[in-house]
Amino acid sequence: MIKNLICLSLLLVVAGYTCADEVGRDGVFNYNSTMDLGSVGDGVPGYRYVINRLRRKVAAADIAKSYLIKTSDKGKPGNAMFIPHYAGVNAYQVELNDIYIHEDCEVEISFDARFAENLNSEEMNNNKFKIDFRCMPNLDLGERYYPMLNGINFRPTNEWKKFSKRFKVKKQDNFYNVWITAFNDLATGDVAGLYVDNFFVRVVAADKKRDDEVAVIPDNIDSIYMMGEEISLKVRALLNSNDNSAKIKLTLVADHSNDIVKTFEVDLQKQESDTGDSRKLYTGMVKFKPELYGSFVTDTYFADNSLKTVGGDYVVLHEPVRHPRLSPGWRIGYNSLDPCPRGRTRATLDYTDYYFYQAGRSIDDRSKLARLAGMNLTRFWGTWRYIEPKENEFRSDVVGPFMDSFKNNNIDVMFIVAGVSLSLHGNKDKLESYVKSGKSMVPPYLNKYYFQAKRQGSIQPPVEVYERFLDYIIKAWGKDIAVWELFNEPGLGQFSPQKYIDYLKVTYKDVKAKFPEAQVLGNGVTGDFGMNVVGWCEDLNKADPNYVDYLDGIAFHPYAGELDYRKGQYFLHTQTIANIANTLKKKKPLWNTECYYILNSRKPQKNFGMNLSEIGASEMQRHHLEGISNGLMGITAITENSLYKRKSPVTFPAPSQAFAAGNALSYMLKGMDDIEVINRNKYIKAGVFYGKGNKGGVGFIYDLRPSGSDWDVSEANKYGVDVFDLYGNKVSAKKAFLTYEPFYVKGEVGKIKEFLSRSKLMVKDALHVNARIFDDRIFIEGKNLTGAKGVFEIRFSDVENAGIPAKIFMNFNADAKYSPVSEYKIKRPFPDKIKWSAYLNGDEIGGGETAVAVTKNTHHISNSEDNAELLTLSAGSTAKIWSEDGLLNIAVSVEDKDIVAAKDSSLWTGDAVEVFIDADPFNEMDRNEITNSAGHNLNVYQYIFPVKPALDGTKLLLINKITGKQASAALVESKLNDNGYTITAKIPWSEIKFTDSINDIVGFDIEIDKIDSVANKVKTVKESLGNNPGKSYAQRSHYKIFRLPQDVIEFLKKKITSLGGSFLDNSEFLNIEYGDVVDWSYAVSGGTTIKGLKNSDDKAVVLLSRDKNSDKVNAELKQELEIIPASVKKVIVQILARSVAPIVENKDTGLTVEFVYYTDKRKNLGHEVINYMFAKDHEDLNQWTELQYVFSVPSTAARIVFNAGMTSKLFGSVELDRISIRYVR
Amino acid sequence: MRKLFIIIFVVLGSAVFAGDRSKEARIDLVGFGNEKVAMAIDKCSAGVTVSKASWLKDEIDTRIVASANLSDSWREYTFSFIPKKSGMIDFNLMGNATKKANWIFYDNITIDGAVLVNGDFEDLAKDGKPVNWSIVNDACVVNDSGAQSGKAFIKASHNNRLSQNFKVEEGKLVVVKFWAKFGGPVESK
Repeated sequence: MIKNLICLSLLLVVAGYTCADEVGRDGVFNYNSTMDLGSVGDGVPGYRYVINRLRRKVAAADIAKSYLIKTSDKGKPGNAMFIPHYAGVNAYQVELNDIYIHEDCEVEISFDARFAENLNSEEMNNNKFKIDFRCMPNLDLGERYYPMLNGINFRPTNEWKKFSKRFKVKKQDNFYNVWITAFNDLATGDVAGLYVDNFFVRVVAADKKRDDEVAVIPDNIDSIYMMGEEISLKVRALLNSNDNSAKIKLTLVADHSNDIVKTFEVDLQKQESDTGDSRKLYTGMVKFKPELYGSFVTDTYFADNSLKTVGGDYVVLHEPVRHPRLSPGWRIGYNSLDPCPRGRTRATLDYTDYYFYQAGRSIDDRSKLARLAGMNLTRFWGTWRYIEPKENEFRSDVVGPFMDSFKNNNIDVMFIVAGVSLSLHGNKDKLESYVKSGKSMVPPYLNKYYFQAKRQGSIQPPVEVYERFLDYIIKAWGKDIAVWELFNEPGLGQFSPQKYIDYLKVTYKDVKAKFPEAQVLGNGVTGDFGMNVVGWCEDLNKADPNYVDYLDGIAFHPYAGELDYRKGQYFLHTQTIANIANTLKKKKPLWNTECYYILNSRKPQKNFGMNLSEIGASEMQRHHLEGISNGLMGITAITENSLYKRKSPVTFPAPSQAFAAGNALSYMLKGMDDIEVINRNKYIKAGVFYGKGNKGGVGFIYDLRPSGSDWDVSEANKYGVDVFDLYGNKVSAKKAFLTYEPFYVKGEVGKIKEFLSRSKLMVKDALHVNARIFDDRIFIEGKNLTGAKGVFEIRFSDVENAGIPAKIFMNFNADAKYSPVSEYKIKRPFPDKIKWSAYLNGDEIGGGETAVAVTKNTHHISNSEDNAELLTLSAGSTAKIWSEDGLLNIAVSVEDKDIVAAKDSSLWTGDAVEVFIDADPFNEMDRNEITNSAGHNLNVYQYIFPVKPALDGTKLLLINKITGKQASAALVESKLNDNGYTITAKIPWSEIKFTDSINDIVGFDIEIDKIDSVANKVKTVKESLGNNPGKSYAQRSHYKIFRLPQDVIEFLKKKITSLGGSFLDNSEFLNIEYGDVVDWSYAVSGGTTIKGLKNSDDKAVVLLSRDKNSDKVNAELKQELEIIPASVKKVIVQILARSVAPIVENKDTGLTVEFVYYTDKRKNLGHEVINYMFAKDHEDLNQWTELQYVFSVPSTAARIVFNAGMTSKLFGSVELDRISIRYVR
Repeated sequence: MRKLFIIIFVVLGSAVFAGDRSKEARIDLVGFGNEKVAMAIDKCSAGVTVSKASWLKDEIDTRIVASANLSDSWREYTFSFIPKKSGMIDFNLMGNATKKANWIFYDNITIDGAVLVNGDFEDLAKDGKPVNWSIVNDACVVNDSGAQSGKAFIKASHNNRLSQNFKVEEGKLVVVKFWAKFGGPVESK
């Protein structure tokens, strides 16, 4: 029980600063447990209905029919979720919201269910139900797929029945999902109707008093509005109130910027209905006309407390535009979802007999909505098995309804002939078992054309067989297909380049003969799975470089190269396009036909497909603008799923930022035929679209520098142009903050060009540098002002003789705000200020001067009471601090004759001594506040030792500002004397957990709480060692700085629990024996040297050398680290290095750091390598440079083999001065 | 314009590439006695890698392992080290522990800075074994025209070794030169 309560309290701490999909005070993870947030007959807020198998013939009979789950009044009590019996629905799942669990705990899933109609026992048996409870991985952390996969099989009856099960769950970085899944055993059977109520996913032993919660339900079930149209938001709230009415505050927030755009006070009236708990149902309504285009969310507040809110998402759109073929606006497209539920169907069934209805939406609605999202083009997978299931037997009924729907909604089709490439990993046996699994997308008759290559195989039917298949498609849908592609990503696996060219030739010949205007695309190269994106192009060139004569364009998929700003890396998108174009014998336009994953710049998604396809508005538009600027003729990159939010819906899933951004971009490009790129600065992307015979144009501009710039738009009038934000809202301010979000400019083309070329841009500061001297050491850290992760190069001026390196590559990948602290021994005289410049990829992006703070009056913690300094506090009390036997001793003597005991564990309400220890006083060194509103607290320990125990018996209180209250093994002795009292406290050093490094410095304060009763009134007086009495619980800058004795540091370093991992031995290379670098493992090969020595500056270093004739192996040092599994999230490595002989650059060369991860049973979990690359010109690297690296540690890792040194392609000599590591927990 | 790029590769679940280690010569030098001699690696010729015995934890410098990529013909290899204290070294001629066991042929081994006896294996006892060498399992002298020098050479593998002890002096460079070639698979018994 205690364990569970601790778990809950930890979760509550987390919930304070993270998203709404996390546990509330009541321990409930999901929305709308009692189902009363929905209105009877409408959808069920908080639950998404996905039809895994809808019988195709039923669906095809009415492609405009959508399917919804509904709120019913037949609940237990009140309302219930009603999952209707729909004819044709053979399998479905109802998905709850994404659930984030940050601490190990026990979770209970419980619910009531019954069939909606009376079923006999046979019918009941045919209906199979299960609760699926799984966790999605963060692949960056090396997690396996579904780190948790569990569930409950349940058998409802005709009467209400309760089901529940408890699960031990582990904290995970990515989200958990809970689904109610159902199917009918019979291939042609339907799932019976079901009522569900009281569905809880909650922490066991949580507070049973339910939190308030609200559903905000737009009157448009698609949550889509056009400008000018009135929006009605129905508000249904479950509140802990008995009043007849209640007022809540409702704010509308632009979700790309988090800006509040409007606030309402909403009057709610209490309804007489039984909610099943003590909360009462209140309802109300807000009506308004939108003033802004874009994508919005709704937040609600009751008595200034944020409410758990489901729904309230909506978009405001421009009228959709039908663009002429190949014009810039036409080039915005998407990939349609696979029509049939491959992978969601048992092998005993033919999955082509069913359709998959994502979110229950009809085929026709999906196309209609895609058009509203600005899509003019869709990429449709013409899977071979859908069209020719048996040899020479063709059918149109699987694909046909979709083609009809696209046509009905004015969406042009890019058709992939055959769909998937016919490659397989493995051999023919594997192929056959794959076919037997029922998942194959290839008709079984094609298996006889299996071709086995070295490691993989592929099906390569004769050209005549392919042509026969193609001929059917031409006849059936040829006139409706604008663009033809053949095989998705044929370069994956072992598809023969020559065979592919043969298919390409016949496709080009046959299609062009019938439809000369149609576009035929070849190649289909992809960067997916980390592939060399041009490899397939080179293979085709080897087979026949004239293959480009048989195509109109080159299809490619720029995975991991989808944007010109990507996680600190620049211009990968442009470079990917150029690299592919450079392989072509003849110039041909490129088409980006798929790229489902686009990494958001400000808050990169966790590395998992479902996360990565949630695309921000700015990324959606930049992906297209960069593509079109680089000459792409079509971009069907995103998947249809990206047009909708994953967030729990109130009816159908709400449109996403990408939806609204696509609509706005399409609208902006109305009437535009071509583009002219404006080269202003490589980080400033700009261009102007123009229409032939049309003076008017549309410009765009954005800034890829992470700090962005202030853009002076005050002269827009002078140029006669108007400026719009990314959603097409007119900007009236004189200044705009130009960053990743594009702005648009409308006016005459010439004027737009002038305006975009000449208007002023003032680059904003990207970062600050903090520096503080303590004794003979300086501590330096960077503060990132951009909000974006990445690495900045800081060059210091005039510090040659000051003891700090010429450069630090400050790494903000572990913490986007502060870089790791760098520590150096200074040489005096040290300047009062240090000048620095910031660089990004070698380009200066800012600079400044940092006044160096100097810590004066530093204190030392002695080894005995006798040697301890007598410290005097602000009102005359005295204290001594010393360390002995692994304990920090604090003895305080206070004059106070009126001793008051606290009533309870609020010990500061009685006479007490408080001790504050800041374990990392030089981390975030410009920060005074210990806690902040973002919930990112500093690692400060607060001990409270009462003079007399509290009336409830409490004798000691320990609060860590990050983790909360915790148990303490500290010993305390209090003695009263004639003048007052003395307290001696002994705190085990092992109780102090350092954030990421064990330093020999702590911030320290003592506060005396003097509570006196004067005339029955309590008077509190605070006294402290620092100069800010009464504030030490909240602020830390005034703490005194104390230096720990060496034996304490050694003691702490030996305990891996102090940090979560072990330390590097001999990290400063001071221990050298006959050139051997003691404690480090390494291997020396022909032509390489690894030597510990004193360099020309008498510094202990390791010299790594490789000459040009060296054997092709790395010259690196190795050491093994032990870590506590799941306690370390990242490891930061800081290396001080310089080159001492010319460095020669080669591709993939550099100073390398590698982590190889192992479990405690020595299972290899993979490895991660980071190379900093040296340039040919090494001049700027012959000065000392600190390189900072950040590694993500798999949660199951118990050991890390750490390697650092020169890669096998780097020649020259490098000196390493020291290597240090920090663990991030 | 000077540039610095960062390349991040994440390859999970894959092993670090290694060549065919079954065709490598391997000589282990092991400090022994009460106070084990530790060694500092100096340098080596092309094709040779000398490494510390990372599996020995706190004693990683008391054993160094020299390995060399071999061909089918004799080739000379060298490596050197500095003893961190005076004492005895156990010098082992062997091969790598791999699934496929191969013979490694050694001949004409000379050492500067220490005394190795009968490094050309020409001095044989009556039983045909090389004088001054200890033999483990089936390591043996081959006496035919294929020697690199003289008439005899030896064949060894990971489980079939020859060893000899010699003295070293603290701080005095020791240079090992040896000839070796690939000797084909070890026949199964």
